[in-house]
Parts: sequence; C-alpha cells; structure tokens
Amino acid sequence: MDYFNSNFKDRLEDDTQGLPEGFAWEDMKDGIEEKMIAGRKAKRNRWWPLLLLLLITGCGGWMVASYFEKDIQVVNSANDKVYTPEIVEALSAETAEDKSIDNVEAIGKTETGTIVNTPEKESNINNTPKPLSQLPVDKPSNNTATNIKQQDGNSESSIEQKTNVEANLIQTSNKKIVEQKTSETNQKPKVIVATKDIFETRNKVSELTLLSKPISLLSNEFDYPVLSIGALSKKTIPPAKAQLSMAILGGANVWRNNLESIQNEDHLSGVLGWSVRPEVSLRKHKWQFTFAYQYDQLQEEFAYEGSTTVLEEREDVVVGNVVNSLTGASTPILKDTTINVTYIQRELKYNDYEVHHLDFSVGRILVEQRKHTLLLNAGLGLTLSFQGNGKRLNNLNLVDEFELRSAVNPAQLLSISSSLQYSYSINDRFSILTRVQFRQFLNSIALSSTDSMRPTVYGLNLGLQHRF
Amino acid sequence: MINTHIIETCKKGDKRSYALIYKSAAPYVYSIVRRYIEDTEYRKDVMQETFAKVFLNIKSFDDQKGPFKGWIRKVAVNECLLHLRSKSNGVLFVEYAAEKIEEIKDDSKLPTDLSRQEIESILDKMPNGYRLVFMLAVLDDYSHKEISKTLNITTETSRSQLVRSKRWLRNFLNSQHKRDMYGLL
Repeated sequence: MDYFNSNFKDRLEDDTQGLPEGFAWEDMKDGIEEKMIAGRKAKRNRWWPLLLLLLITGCGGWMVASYFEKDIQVVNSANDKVYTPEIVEALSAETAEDKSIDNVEAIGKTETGTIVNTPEKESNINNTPKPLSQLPVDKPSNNTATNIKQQDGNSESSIEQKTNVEANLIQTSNKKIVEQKTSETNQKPKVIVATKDIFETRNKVSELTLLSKPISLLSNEFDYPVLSIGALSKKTIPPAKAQLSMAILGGANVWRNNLESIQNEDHLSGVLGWSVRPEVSLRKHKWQFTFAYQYDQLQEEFAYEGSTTVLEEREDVVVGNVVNSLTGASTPILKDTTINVTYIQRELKYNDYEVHHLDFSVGRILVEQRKHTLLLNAGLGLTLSFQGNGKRLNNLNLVDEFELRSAVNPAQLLSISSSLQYSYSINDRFSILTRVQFRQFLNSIALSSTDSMRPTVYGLNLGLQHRF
Repeated sequence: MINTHIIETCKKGDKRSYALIYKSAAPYVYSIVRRYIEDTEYRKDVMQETFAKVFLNIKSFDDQKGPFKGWIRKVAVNECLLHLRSKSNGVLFVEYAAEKIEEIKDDSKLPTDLSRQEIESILDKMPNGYRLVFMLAVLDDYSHKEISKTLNITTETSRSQLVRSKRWLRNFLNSQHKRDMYGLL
C-alpha cells in the first residue's frame, strides 16, 4: 500500500477532531436553513433556460407553421377547382336578362316566338400561366349576344342564342383569396430578439459552469442527480484547450423572394422545405468557429390560372323579353337553351430547388450554465449549387415538370447567415441542439441580368452534437 | 456513521433528523473543510453550505451506490472548491507546461507514527499548487481525470503535480526526521 494512503489518508479518516466552538447544531441551524431557502430558489431559477428553449422552439415553430397554414388554405381552395355552376348559372341568367331586354327592344315588338336551339359546343382551353393581375377583373360581359330571328305568320320564330358568360364572380372571389394571401405573406417575419435582461444574467450564470464541475464528478461517480447551486456573481474560466466537436442538424425551412415582379398574386412565396447540415466546430474560450455543409430543399409555390369555355344546356334561361307596345309591359322569354360558360380554374404548382452551401461562421457563447448553453452565430456562406425543377399546367390541364436551369444561377452565390442556438448537454460527450437560422443571399439567384432575386431563408433545426 | 433509518426519515422531510445527521457528520465534514479552507472565518459558511446541499439533495442519495460518508465527502470537497474558486477570481490552479517526473518510491525511512495534528500541520506548509492536487488525489480519492476537470488542467499536469507533491513531502519528512534525530533546526 502507498505510504501516503496508509499514513495520511487513513490516519485522517480514523481520527476526526471535534467541532470547534460555534459549530454546534444550535449555532448552525439558522444559517443552514437560510442557505436551503436560497438553494431552493436557485433550483427553481435553473428552469429558465428550458423556458427559453421552449420560447425559441415555439417562435420558430409558429413562424414555420404560419407559412404552412397559409399554404394549406390556398391549396384547399385551389383543389376545389372553382367549379361553381350555381354561380355561373345565376350570373348567366342575370346577364342574359339584362342584355335580352335591350336586344328585343331594338329588334321590335314581338308577341310570341319559337326558339330553336342550335346545339353547338366548343371548348376553349387556355392554360397559359399568367398572374391574376393580368386577367380582366369585374369586366362587363360583352360577349353576350342574343339573336332573335322572326319568321312570317305562324312561322316559327328562331332564336339562336350564343351566350358567353365569364364567371367574373368566381374570378373576383379568387382574386380576393389571393390578395389576402399575398398581403399576409408580404408581412415581414418578426425577429425575436433576446432581451437585455437575459444576457445580463450571463455573468452570474456563467459561474455555474465552474460550479458544475465538481458537482458533475459527484453525479458521475454515484450517478446522483446534480445538486442545486446558489447563484454566485463570479466570472467563469473558459476551457484552457480548444475543443473540437461535430454536429448534425436537420429541420424545416421557408424562404421568401425579394423580387417584386414575382410577388404578385400568382407567386405565393416559400412553402415548407427541409434542410440537413453536418458541421464541425472548434471552441476556444467563449468563441466557437464552425465549418459546415448544408443541403436545403426549398420550395416555392405559384398559382397557375387557366380558363375553359364549354357549351352547356340550361333550362329556363331568359333569352329575351317581349314588350307589349300598348302597355309597355315586358314579359321574359324563358327557354331551354345552350350557353357558353367559361370556367376559371386555378392550380397551385410547386417549384423545387436543391441548394448546397458551405458555411463558415463565428459564434459567441452568450450564456453557459451547467448543461445549458446559448450561442449566437454569424457567418458567411458559399452556395455551391442551386438547381431546381418546376411544375406547370400544360394544355390538357396536366402537370408538366421542367428544369429551371435556364432561369436559376447554378453556383457561386454568397450569403450571410446568423443563428441563435440553444444546446443541452446530455453527458460529457453529447448535446442536443435547437437552432433558429436566418440566411440572406447576397447575389441574385436568377440568371437574368434584369431580375435581382435574393431570397431570404428561415430555418428551425434540431440536432445532436458530439464533443471530442 | 449514520444509520439508514435517519437518512430515510431525513428524505421524508423530518427536520428532527437534520440535527441528528449534522451531529453525526459535522466532525468529519469539518475535518475536510479545515484542510481546504485556511481562513477560519469562512469555514462556518462552507459548513453551512455543505449541509444545506446535503439536506436539499438527500433524496438523490442511494446507499446501493455508495456509503453516505463518501457522498457527503464529495459534497463537502465540492463546496470547498467552489469557495476557493470564488475567492481566487475563478482560478484555482495555474497550469504550467507539464514535464514528466519519475516518482521515487523509497518510503522506508519515512515516519509512520504521524498524528492528525502533525499531518494537518505538514499539509498547511505544503505549497498550494501541490497541496490541492495531493489532497484531491490521495485524501479524497479523486482520479486524475476528475482532478483535471475540477481544476481545469490536463491529466498530465495533475499526475506531475502529484509526483511533485509526494516528492516534496518525502523531502520534508526526511528533513524533519533528521532534525528530530540530530536536533537540527
């Protein structure tokens, strides 16, 4: 046995001295109780980083969900395909009535008439994607034409009617939906800024890093839960050595384009995408240098609009008015007839982009308390590749996929990024991370020299970190 | 030291058991605190902090995992280190480049009849850089890995400091022995 174990350790263990004066229980109990109360308070205060995590996650989740929810609403409305024959019918009847009065009066006085329907059917499909702003809105129905041919005696009166009714009402309602959507998406996202108070506690809390070290030894050896620690107002000592770590993160993202020309009714901005990001970090004192590769799957959404005109048979359509020349009273002429009805159809299509970045960032540890760390990061990114595939409607109302190579700048884009990260140490080696990330492209992703398209990407990531 | 029944009643929040635990464990805890905290004014404060944490966290003590004595010793040592760190502006140990020192294990001429007071007196005379590592490693059973984490130094430094501290002790004890033998000052 080691000399010092047998002659120092064992001797001290076996021969403990009595307590000096002033250390009796009666003298100590009040002080112990006070410190217990302080310890309980400190234990309660230990939960605020978790509340902060919930706040960050909640805000990020709300940000993502708010985009997602809006898209769902519009997708649903688009999936309805806006086929509303009742509205069309009502509108066509109303329009026919208005127009037929003028026409009949212009032709002359007619007592009766026989209407002969001429079945005619034509379909006109126009699916060229164009923004709603370019479509006529609430314009008068000038395609309505009612011709009444009168034949002699008991001759039969032939009225050929050709009515084209544009479903302005539908279009108007769609317009409203899109306008509402656009106004919502145009709102700038709120940036959550940590309050000064939170960061001012840094110095106090950082002391707990040191406090945790002996405590953690205790918990390692006996596997006890960590002990409560009173708050001390001392500065922490950063690790003397540089510490290398590796992390993998993944999560959801949304993006917005700054290009005004596409922020109209047909472009519904970013929808929910995803990202994955392996990274290597080197920590020195309170600074962290990170090198990362990031893959983003971004999506954007366009509302494509097409119109289809079909000839439909309708019952009791007002095709004209007969005016009594003596009394001046008019009687509507109702007939089963065929009219042209134009349906407006909207479809939402997605463009997918695959983006590869290399990022370098510098982070500053704002708060470090035992197992909890809050890190603010800022850096520069080089986009290696930005490729995309688009989808649009063809003439048969079917979805076509096409490459966006001709429109998108394929590489060498620069971006700045920043993030706020909360990490929780599971043990000496592993931590779980949650991070709210922001990236602003500095160059245009559009190949066109006239369009400057510098999107902003927001992300919420979760991950696992391993320290070497 | 303390029977499990008292610990169980303490876990249930019986304040009468606080006094029993204190009276039983306080002399042992004080002997630890005394070793680390030189300033007698602060010993009371550290003792109170130690027992406050013991009572607050006694529910986490599991006698299947180790004796109560070992657990309370860890709490006391941790509390002492916290105090030392707070009083030294966070720096407990200044690390210099570690150099390999071989330990000479010739302890045959060293005294084996040292009393507690003598040991404590010798420890008081030991340089601070040696004493802390020596106490943690030898008297409180910390591993070099634990010491390196606690003092924020490398394990190599911890090892070399321990060897140095033992060498210092051997030299001191030998010289003391010579003085005792030959009446030298």
